Amino acid sequence: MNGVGLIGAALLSIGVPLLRLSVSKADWLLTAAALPFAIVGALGLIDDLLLHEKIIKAILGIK
Amino acid sequence: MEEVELIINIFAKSFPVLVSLVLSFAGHTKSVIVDGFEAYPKRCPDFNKQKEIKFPCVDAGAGAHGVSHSVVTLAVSLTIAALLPANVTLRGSLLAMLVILLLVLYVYSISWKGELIHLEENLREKLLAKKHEWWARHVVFGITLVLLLGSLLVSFASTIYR
Repeated sequence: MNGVGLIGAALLSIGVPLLRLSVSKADWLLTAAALPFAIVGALGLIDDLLLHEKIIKAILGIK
Repeated sequence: MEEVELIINIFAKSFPVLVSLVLSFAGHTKSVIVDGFEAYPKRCPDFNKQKEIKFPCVDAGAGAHGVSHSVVTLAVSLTIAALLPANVTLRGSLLAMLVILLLVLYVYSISWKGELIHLEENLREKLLAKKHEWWARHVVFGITLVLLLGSLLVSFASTIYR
């Protein structure tokens, strides 16, 4: 577990509840606002837990 | 009058992250650590030289603490939003995600190996290479700002869909 996972989990905890609420209320503006949080959060957590930080290392240019 | 109540509601629910944002902008963590060095200079080898160059040795640790602090205040904000009158769907998913976030925080706190420090330092270097000097000096502020935007969104949604 590292910083990417922590920040990813924080973003995911914002994105998922908002996404679920906005879809149930058919509020597409809220869905559009929630999607970046959910996608970036999920990527951060997956990158940390499953990919051994391959994505963040590629973004930051770390070998 | 309803609009004023809406703004107060959103402000109150996002207040912890807002405090974190102000503290990160003011460099609160670093200033407390530096105050400690100044109170007991003998505990800091090379104190006088470090004082001249404004203690860059504590930047990374202070930054990592700032990010952790921001995540904790986000968890507090989301808990407040879930506990105050809110939509049942939002409340349920907020509480479920909070359990995951707290679990990650707990695992993170017991498996501390300094990765957050490296992440923050690498982000700083990347921003410096791209000539974004202001953001390079305010990495924690940037991360906290994103978390505050998310917290404001959750507060807004929980106030609108009660």
